[in-house]
Amino acid sequence: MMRTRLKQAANALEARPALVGTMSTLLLLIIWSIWARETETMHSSFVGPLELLYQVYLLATQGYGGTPLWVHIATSLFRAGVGFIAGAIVGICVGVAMGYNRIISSALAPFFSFIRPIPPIAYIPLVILWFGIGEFSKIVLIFLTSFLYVALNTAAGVRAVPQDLIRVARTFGISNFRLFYAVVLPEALPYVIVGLKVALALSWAVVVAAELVAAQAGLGYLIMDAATFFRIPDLYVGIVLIGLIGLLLERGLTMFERRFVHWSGK
Amino acid sequence: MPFITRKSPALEMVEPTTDEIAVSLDGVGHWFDGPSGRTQVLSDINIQIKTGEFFTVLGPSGCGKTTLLNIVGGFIEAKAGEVATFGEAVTGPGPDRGVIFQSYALFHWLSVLKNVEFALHGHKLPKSERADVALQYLDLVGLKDFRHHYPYQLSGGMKQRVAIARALAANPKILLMDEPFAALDAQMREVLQEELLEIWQRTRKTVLFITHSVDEAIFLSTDICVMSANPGRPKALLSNNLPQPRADCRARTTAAFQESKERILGLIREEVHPTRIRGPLP
Ligand SMILES: Nc1ncnc2c1ncn2[C@@H]1O[C@H](COP(=O)(O)OP(=O)(O)OP(=O)(O)O)[C@@H](O)[C@H]1O
Ligand SMILES: [Mg+2]
Repeated sequence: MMRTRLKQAANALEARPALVGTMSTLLLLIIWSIWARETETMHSSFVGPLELLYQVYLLATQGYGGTPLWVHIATSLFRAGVGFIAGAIVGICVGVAMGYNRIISSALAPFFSFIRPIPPIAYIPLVILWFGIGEFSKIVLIFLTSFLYVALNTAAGVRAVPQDLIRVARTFGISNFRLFYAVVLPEALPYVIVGLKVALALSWAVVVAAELVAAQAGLGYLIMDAATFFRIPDLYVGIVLIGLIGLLLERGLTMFERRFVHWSGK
Repeated sequence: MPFITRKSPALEMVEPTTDEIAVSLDGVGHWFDGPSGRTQVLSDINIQIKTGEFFTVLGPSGCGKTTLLNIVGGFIEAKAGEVATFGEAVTGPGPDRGVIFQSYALFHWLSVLKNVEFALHGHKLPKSERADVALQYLDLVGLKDFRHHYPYQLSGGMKQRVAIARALAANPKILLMDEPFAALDAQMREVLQEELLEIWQRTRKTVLFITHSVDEAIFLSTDICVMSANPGRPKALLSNNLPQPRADCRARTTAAFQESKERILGLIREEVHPTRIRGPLP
């Protein structure tokens, strides 16, 4: 009796993932509020959700360190965006060349194998040495990150195009160029998008890391500065904003994926 | 006797065909070089397919049927011999030869209609006309109502119908089909065989068909080439006298059909057990 009822409830919840997600978030917020109130007097480094919301309002209206909040956000987005897009474009080109040509692929393989396990943040000191602490060094760093994953995935995608598909297309007397953009590219697109997703997530993470080290603006700078000067609520706001923006970027690419590679995986 | 070898004086074509040679393979051989040395896959293939014939190559797995089709399609170059279609040497794939693979090979990012339209890019047609032509071919395979579907929304049988419509839309003179129905369930296979036969009767294309189903070969073909393996070479060229029209399941149960089947199975059995011990044990 009791068990069947539990089972019914479980089934009902299983069918409503959005509801379950909202409920768990609400629960967390409640626990967080209570906990924050209890520990308020002991720990100044613990901020509750309401205080956080108020701090977002303060930052949004007054800015941080003399710079409006949106400028910090835009700066980080700009660095990540330029590096990501440039890396994606070059990565797709190099990936296609590698996918098409075994010799190019074999020639580049050792470099990719060597570079892949190095976390991009390990290059931060080096790019600062080479390019200074300006915009360029951060963009170079993100470019490298994005390029690597997009190139490798594109190459894998091009290589995975079934031979039969190319053969059928060839019987229709199409040019090599048309074969490339009308058959090989769309067939490889799901792989490319997986590469883009990884690259975008990493670009966002790396830009924050780079800004922690050396920057005058940006969300990474904001949290580092806030921690240094003990502006704890601002530190929380910075972290939450980084998370939210990363989430939105991911959602954006997923929407793009649903729209343009709706056939993938079916 | 439903089967007569080509050279027999009693040769009797089921359908009147012109004597133009559509596909000619002259001393064709092929091998692959692998890590464990050279494997001779095809050797000394001499086949002439006349215009309008439904020519089936029947043979055990690995005897080089796909390799043969790839050579005629121009996808791989024969290492020995001459290959020609309508008197012209084959140098690569071309719109005179349409292919249909077991894997369907549809463009799954394109709708069914766009898949068929893809075949028409070589033909200088205005856009609207292109769609009209594509629709006619979809109608031929009974998929007009599915034109806006995507391949992933279709069953295997429907996918292969789209592939057939696409191949036909380019208006090739020759259709090359590599075990096109092997991935389908038994019922769907028979349905598509009947449809293909009807299409062949209406369009009079020359077909080079590959299969390892004896039933399929007998039901469809005018001519059957039974292959032997290692290396692959024609073992017997047979002319199929199973009466037309056959696009009806009753053709499969006739005595003539059974007789043909037994004959071919006999040939294949010889192939599979060439050194079978026949006499009594000592
Ligand atoms: N690209 C290749 N490289 C090396 N060997 C190959 C290659 N393609 C085919 N072969 C070999 O050639 C032989 C014939 O292959 P093929 O695909 O033509 O056989 P098949 O008659 O179509 O077989 P199946 O009925 O299983 O499709 C096989 O032994 C196969 O291993
Ligand atoms: Mg094969």
